Order: sequence, then structure tokens, then C-alpha cells
Amino acid sequence: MDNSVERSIKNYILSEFLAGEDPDYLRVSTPLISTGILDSMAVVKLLLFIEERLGVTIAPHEVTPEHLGNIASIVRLVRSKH
Amino acid sequence: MMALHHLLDASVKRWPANPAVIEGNGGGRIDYRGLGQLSDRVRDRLVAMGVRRGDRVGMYLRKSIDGVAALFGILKAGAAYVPADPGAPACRVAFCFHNCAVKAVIVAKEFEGGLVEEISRLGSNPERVVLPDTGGGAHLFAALQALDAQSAARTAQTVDSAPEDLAYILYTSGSTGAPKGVMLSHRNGEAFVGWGSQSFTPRPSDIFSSHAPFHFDLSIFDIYVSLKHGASLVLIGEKMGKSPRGLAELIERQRITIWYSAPSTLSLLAQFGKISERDFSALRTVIFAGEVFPIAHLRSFKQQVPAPCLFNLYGPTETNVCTWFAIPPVVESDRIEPYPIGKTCSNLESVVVDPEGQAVERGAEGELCIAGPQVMQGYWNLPEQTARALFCDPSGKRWYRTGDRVTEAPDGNYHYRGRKDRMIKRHGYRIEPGEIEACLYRHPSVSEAGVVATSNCGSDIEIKAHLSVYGEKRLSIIELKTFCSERLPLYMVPDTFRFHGGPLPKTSTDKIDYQSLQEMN
Repeated sequence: MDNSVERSIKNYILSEFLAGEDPDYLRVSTPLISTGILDSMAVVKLLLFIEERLGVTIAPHEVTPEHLGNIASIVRLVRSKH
Repeated sequence: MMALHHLLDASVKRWPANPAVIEGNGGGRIDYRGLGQLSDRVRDRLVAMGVRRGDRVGMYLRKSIDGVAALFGILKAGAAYVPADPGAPACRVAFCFHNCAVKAVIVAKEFEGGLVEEISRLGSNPERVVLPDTGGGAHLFAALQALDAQSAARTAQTVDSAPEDLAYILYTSGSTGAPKGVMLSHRNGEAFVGWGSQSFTPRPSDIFSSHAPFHFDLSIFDIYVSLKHGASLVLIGEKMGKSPRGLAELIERQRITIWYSAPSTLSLLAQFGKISERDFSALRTVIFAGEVFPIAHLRSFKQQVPAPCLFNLYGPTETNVCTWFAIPPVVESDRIEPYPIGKTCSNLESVVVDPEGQAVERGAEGELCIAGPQVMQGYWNLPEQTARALFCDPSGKRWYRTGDRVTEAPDGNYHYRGRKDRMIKRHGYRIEPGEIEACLYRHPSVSEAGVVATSNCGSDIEIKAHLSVYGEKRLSIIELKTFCSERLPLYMVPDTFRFHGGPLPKTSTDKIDYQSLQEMN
């Protein structure tokens, strides 16, 4: 499951917020919030994507840079819900 | 006129046990007596450090009770506070603090290292009050205790600041590539707070939201109007601001009665906050300012939460709010245009002028100029920019040129038509594209940069950077965003980048043709 979740989140971020970027540059450890790749609106869109496509609901208290700071932490959060 | 910190002193006497500040994340709360005492301790420490009337003191910490007590302590010492954006890179914060020569800084441990490194590089070495963390006021208290253990601070007198003394300096994006400090006096702040009090009739039972960070001028209303009236101020930190459902839950749980934020936050709430499922019965007033509220989102908000009165406030940092408009109870279903920015506040005067500075006829488009007690003193150490922004009429009255193009309708309401210059408003922040371009030009691979804003389906503003680069290799967008985020606040990092094969398009005078860039999709 890990790889498919990671792939799907990575593809979503690339297509929605980094159009035109070389996929190799987006690593699981790339900071997403501190670099401005995800702003408030982007965070909301990503959460909706996770909810609708991965069937996982993120609670308001989990919407933090610690959980959403990079793809690895997002995948960990999604995994913890399964 | 009462100095801003005396508003708190008066409330401490009148409502000592009322909750003054509550941290919305479930952190601490402090009553008026406690806030008064903690800010007195800050005053004493700053005076012991040599801070005197007319000095500046920087604040570099996350929004918290500690922060509110710190800013009142700075005012009580007779100084002006300079609040930094905790999300901005240390080099930018250091620039601002060095620029206005702060005598001392109140800084959280997490930011201290970066600040000291950057500001010492600029040749400054301000005194420091270092908080181990922020939250509840306990960390500020601990920092003061630790300093007292080394050398006790004697009780100092609260300074009776004069109306013209500076109260705070708010740094905004500057068109020349560096931030500029807007100097606001006690008179400026108090006049605005007086207008806010008169217009929204706050009561001690009110619970205000504090959504805007302290470096953003919306915070002036939250902090001072609430505390002047013995009401409670609920601080909303940056983390909570990212979750619309979390915000909706907070409004319900804290029984917020007066909400004030940029429209973008209300748009998020309307779209994703499931607010119709929440109990917002305490909410009586919703105020927004800082940018245009897209009408579809405004309508959606009003449909889901019909009871509160909604107000659109308009005004630049240089004057704070100068016009306002009450949104009608029902947003017409066929309305497409945004609502007007409204009529001039009762304590100010306005005029619309043509490029020669002559008043235009009602209905004609021109630049809005504002006069009155809220008009700033000027930009810190920028006499030429100050002279361009302010002018005196033959009677000696000072006017501020807003740079905003407006028309006045027959009913006296102003309608916003756009900017005279290239300034962008996004999420309530003003952004000078020139500052982003100056940052991009520091990238070794960038030969030309042109930044424009596009409106995404009439709602969110997108910042697009057009680049011409040296060599054949295309740059990584992630690398460029990282580069910008290390030098600019996050709200200024471009959303998208477009790479041009050759030079950027030019006008006949060989300047970058922003109009062409704007039209490129």
C-alpha cells in the first residue's frame, strides 16, 4: 500500500501545485510547507484529495506542518489511519 | 487622547478578572490583571536594558499571550514595537530590525540563532529577551525571571507617550526590493480604535477573534478594540489557520462574537468548513478586509451563516481602515460584481484625484486620497518615498495617496477599480512584484525576471514569475521556490514559473512588457 499511496500523493502534488516540474526533483523528504509549495488553499485541496481518493479523513488537529511537511510524513499519517 | 497602553491600564482597573486573552488552541488564558502585571514586568526589564521613550523594540515570536504581553510592555516602556513575521526568513526579519535600529528584541529561542547570525552580519547587536518557547505567558515570565535572577529589574514608570510618539512600525513589501517600515503613532492607532469602538459597539461580554498575525495591520483592531472594552481576545495561531474545519470548530467552541479576517479565510470556511453544520449563534459581526471577497464565496458564506452582520472594510497599512460598507442581509442571486468598499469613516476625509492631483467629478475614476488622524507619519528612513506618498493641501492638511483607483457612486459609496501601480493584494497582504523580482535576480541562473498576478476564475490571486535564464538548462521549480522561501515571506513565493526561451518581451522603451506577460496564459 505504501508505494501506491506515496505515488498517488506525489502525482497529485506534481500535477496540481508543481506543473511542469521534473518528477525526480520531488522527493519524499522535500519540504512542502516551509518552501511555499503548499499554501493554505493547497493544503485544503490535498486534504480533500486524500479524503476522496484514499478514503482517509484527516482531523483538524492533524493539519500541522509536522504531519503535512513532506510526502513521507503525509504517507505516515495516511498509513496510521488504515 | 489616550496612549494605546493606557487603554489596557484602564481595562485592568475596570475589569481585572475578565478573561483578556485566550489561546484558541487550548493553550493558556490570562485575565486583565495578569496581562497588566506581565506587561509591567516586560516594561521594567526593557527599561533596565536601556530602552527609552522613542526607541524601537523588535518582536520575533509566535502569536501567544506572551506576544500580547510583550507588545504592551514595549509600549509601556515608551518604545514602538516592531512585530516580525514568524514565517519570514531570518534574513528579512534582521533587515527590518536593523533598518529601524531596534534597541532590543523579544525573541523566541527557536528564532534566536538565525536572527543573531543575520543581524550581527548587518552590524547590529540589540539587547535580547529570549523566551524558551511561546504559549500561555509562562515562557515570557520564565525569561523575565531568568534575567531577574542575574540582575533584578527595578520597577519603572509607565511612560505617558505623546500622541505623536511612534507606537508600532509595520513592515510591508517595498517596490524597490526591500521591505519598508510604515510608522504609526499612538494618535494613529487610537483614532482607529476609537472609530472601531463607535462603529461596532463592543461589550465586555464580546469574544473577538484574533486571526491576523501581529505584523499585519488587521491585528490592531483585534487587540486594541477588544481590550479597550473588557472583552476577550481569542488568539488563532498559524497552524489552526490552515484547517477550515478546525477554524469552524473554534468559532463554535469559543463562542466568538466578532470575527475579523481577510476574505480568503472566509472563502475557505464557506467552501470547506462545513459551517452550516456548526452552531454560530454567538457570532454577531463578521468583518473582512485586505482584498476583494469573491461574490460567489460571500454569497455561500451568507447562505450558510445568515445571522451575523457582515462588513467590508478597506484601507492600506498607512491609514488602517478608511472606508467601510455594510453587506446587505441578502446577497442577490444574480450579482457578479464585488460590493463597494463603501463610504469614508466618520473621522477621515477622502478625495478622488486625477494624475495632476485635481479632484475629479463624482463618478470619474481617479486615485483615492485620505486625510485625518489615522494617516501614518511616514516610512522609516525613506524621506523620498514618504514625500511621494504624502502631500499637504494649501490649508496644511496631510493627505495620503493610496495608489488605489476608485470611482464614487451617486450614493457616495466608493468602488475599487484596481491599482495605479503593480502592487498585488493577496490573502490580505500587499506584495510588490519588484521585491519578488529583486529576489529572483539574486539567483545565479536568472537573467531576467518579471512577476505578474493573475486571478484564478475571479477568486484566488496567483503570482506568476516569468523567467529568462542563462544557459539551456531549465531550472527546477522546487529549487526556485526553496530559493525564494529562504529570502521572502511565504505569501510572496511565486505560485508558478514560466520559462522563456529568450529575453522577456519588452516595451518600446525597452522595459519589461508586463502587459504582455499578464496576457500570456
